[in-house]
Amino acid sequence: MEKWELFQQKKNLEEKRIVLPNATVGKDYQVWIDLGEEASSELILSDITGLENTGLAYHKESNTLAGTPLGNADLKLIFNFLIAGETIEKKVPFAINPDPRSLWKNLESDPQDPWWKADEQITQQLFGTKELVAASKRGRAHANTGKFREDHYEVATLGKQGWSILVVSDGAGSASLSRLGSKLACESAISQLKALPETEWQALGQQLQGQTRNISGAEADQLTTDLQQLAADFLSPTVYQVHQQLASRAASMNISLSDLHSTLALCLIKASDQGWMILTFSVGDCPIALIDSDKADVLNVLDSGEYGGATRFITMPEIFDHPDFYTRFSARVVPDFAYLMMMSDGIYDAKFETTFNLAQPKMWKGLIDDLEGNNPEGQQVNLRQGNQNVAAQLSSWMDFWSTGNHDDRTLVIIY
Amino acid sequence: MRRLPVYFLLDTSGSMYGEPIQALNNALNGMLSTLRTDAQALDSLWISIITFDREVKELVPLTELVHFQLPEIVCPQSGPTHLGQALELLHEKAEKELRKASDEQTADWRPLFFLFTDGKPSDLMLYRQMIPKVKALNFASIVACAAGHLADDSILKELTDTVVHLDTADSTTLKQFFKWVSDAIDQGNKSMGTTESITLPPPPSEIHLII
Repeated sequence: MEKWELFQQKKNLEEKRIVLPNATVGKDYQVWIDLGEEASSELILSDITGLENTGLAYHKESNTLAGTPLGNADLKLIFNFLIAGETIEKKVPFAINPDPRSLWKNLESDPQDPWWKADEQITQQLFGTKELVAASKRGRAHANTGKFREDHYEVATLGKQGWSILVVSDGAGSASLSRLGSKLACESAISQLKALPETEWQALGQQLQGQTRNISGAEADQLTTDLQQLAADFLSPTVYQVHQQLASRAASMNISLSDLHSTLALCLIKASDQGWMILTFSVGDCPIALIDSDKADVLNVLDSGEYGGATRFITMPEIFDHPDFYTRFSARVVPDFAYLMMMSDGIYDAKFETTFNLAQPKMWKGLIDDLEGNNPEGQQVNLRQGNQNVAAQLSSWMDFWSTGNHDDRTLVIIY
Repeated sequence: MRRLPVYFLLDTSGSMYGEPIQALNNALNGMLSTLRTDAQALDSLWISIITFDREVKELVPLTELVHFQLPEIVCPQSGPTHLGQALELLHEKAEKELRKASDEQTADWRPLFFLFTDGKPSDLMLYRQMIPKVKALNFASIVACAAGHLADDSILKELTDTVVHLDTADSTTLKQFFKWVSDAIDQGNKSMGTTESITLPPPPSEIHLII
């Protein structure tokens, strides 16, 4: 090699940016070191120093860096080149990422906090001819920083007419006291409804009597609208009271109402001789769905923005003035169903990803298969009558791993 | 998988030459190192870096933190600060890259945007033209950081309510700033109102919040 060529090649090498893809702990790594235009028979990468204890080694004969990284590190490796017998050292940055799963900590939430909430809540109970199971768990994102669960759910019986209520609320991650907001929203809805006189429940049952008519087309659309109106008339005073109670609580605590930001999905349900009477209301992004073997009906419209995590809350006064307010309600009478499910976005984001998928029966079938044990963790929730361990099983299932989905998870199922 | 896209616009104009640009490189590397050991960030964070001086450059296109590699940021010895052009490029890239809700794809978390500058825009008219367009991208937060006595807080205030001021662009201060940025990024993966801004953690004492 001519002297000027050697000089030029050394200069090129010094200026060249050598990029090694980042490695991850525990994941096999193999990279062929590409010298690009500089590659020639007279340029040899003789050694890489700085790889001690990394689990990686440089293989000169194949020009590869390979192995299984042992620990995370930000390294400056030294590449030792030989050009026509001369040695040149070059520093190359190299990052080994930790295994993301190893990073999640499970820190206790502060039990002394005045608004402390248990990390987990589970319920199983008979539900007329069916059964109910529910679980709510603090997500990894909260466990990782010792924060509280912000989801909440409640199940209760109302009056003597056989009505029950299921309520799910998801406290906003961005609101400082949303764990309290979600709890208050659920409790307030129940106490409002419990205070209604028996006559109102009787009247509601009577109005819904005979609404299972097998009709289609315009007539069916009309019925849906009428029933929506009925649900709105019955439930809107309650949901407005929930808002008011949250507002007065915020005022008495001298905090902003937005500190209590929480979604609210509620479902009134009663078994009758015609089947099941169901009323729903929702603000936010907790789906309420009726699932049968061949179809899935989502009973509510979800509030979602153009970006993820953006939604609306019961604490937002503007929802009550919006002309679409009545679309937040629904009512129906169905002869039977296989499953009724309510969930927070911690489940829905991980299992459905988009609102479009919520309308796909095959996605619901996938979720049921998943619950029945078709999942990488092999966790099974036996949704058969008489299973004494069903709530514990649901709670274990809820620990499923889903990259990027680490929110609190709440799921209520009637089966 | 839901991404949290974070855009950085970094001033590489002549006034950054020397110690400041070195400090910026170190601080950014420090921040990446911290984020790489953050479970949440490693799972969802995507970063884009645009630099601006006379030239505006997409130094690193929006890339997953797991694969992210920071090249050395260099700057010319002198020259103007084309912040307006930088906003134009940011707008163009973000429009293409951000995933909004649709039937097929998971929407991104609302993106974040951090601007770092030690001067004032030389292309003020373009800067002002771009402001409404950038705001329309509906970032969960826009943080503008003005470093040193030449940076103009009031011009940055036109872009965002969150303007912080650093007295100097030295190594310690920049490290503090980017530590705070990584704390702010932690606030990004949270549910919120459709148009509300996220609440940022309180800045350390070296960083003055301009009101």
